[in-house]
Amino acid sequence: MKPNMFVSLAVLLIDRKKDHANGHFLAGDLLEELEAGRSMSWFCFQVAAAILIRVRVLAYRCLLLLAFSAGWSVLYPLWRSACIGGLSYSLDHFKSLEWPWTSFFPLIYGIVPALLFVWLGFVAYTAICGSMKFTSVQQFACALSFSSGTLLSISFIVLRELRHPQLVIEDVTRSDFFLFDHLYLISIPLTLSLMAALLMSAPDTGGRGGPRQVRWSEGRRRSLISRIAQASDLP
Amino acid sequence: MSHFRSLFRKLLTKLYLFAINEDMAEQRFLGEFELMILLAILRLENVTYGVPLARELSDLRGRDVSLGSVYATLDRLELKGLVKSTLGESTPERGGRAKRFFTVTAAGVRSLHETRRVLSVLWKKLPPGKGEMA
Repeated sequence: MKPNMFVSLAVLLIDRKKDHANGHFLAGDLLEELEAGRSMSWFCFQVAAAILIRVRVLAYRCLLLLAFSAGWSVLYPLWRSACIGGLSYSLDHFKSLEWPWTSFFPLIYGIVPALLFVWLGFVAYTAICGSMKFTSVQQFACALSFSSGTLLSISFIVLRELRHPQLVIEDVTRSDFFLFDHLYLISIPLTLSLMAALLMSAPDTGGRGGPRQVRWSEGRRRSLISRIAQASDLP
Repeated sequence: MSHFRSLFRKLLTKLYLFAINEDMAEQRFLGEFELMILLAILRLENVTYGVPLARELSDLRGRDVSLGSVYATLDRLELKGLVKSTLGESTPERGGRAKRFFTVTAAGVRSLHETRRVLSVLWKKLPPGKGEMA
């Protein structure tokens, strides 16, 4: 490989123009140093180090999001009982109804609670990490629609893996489909769906802007608590 | 009603303690590389970008510094509010890419002094002979 080609490839690997991320400036710095007479081995070392650091940051972020998503998915039985109000759902109840109601009810009782649960998890995470204001409406919509797609497609894959005789949407709408105690493989769609939404939209934890929002909101919360505490004569 | 009030006060006390605890967490001391970077930025007239900063650090440490780790640390410092960054001009030798200039904030300077004070106290309190080089 020619040196010029190698440099272009290396710069392509580390340059991420999105949101003026560090890779963009780093690539500029490396090119400037190379122009100033730095050796090719120095350049290779820098590129390798930058890629390793990026991989480490990404792995940490993925693990964090996966842990949150898995933890959130464990709450699904509670959510479902709160959402449906303990109604034991069976498709037989709706067989007497005419079309299209026969199609709507399975969706309402099966998929909608799962989707709402994933979306609520997404909103909870963005609110907790303070990135809500840095997520645009388009990003939000894109993340939520992507998570819905992930939920359905992973659900079908799980059914397939379980060697289910027939892949029908009604199986996904069963009330116990996403439950942890039914078959904990089934919680995978919920976890992956939430993680996909978070990966797509939540700003990088090492990114710029987001955490400043956290600091600001913490400051506001602290001052609010201090004011209430003073009003209540607390120390 | 009084039971509710006492419960509210207990909850508020816990929240207040939590807020104080968070305040303390924000004042945590700088790591070795963070300290070096903040001092190097100040040495470079408090406005610098990646290349001179990495060169300065390499000179001070006597070995090459990874630019990636410099940027990762600068990001962390920016999150803590100890440095702030601005976009600079782009030049042809950088492939048309802009520079990112860093400045130490007032909070950064305070944090440096605090770390220095604590380190000085620790050094002074070291028993005689314990800190000698072998």
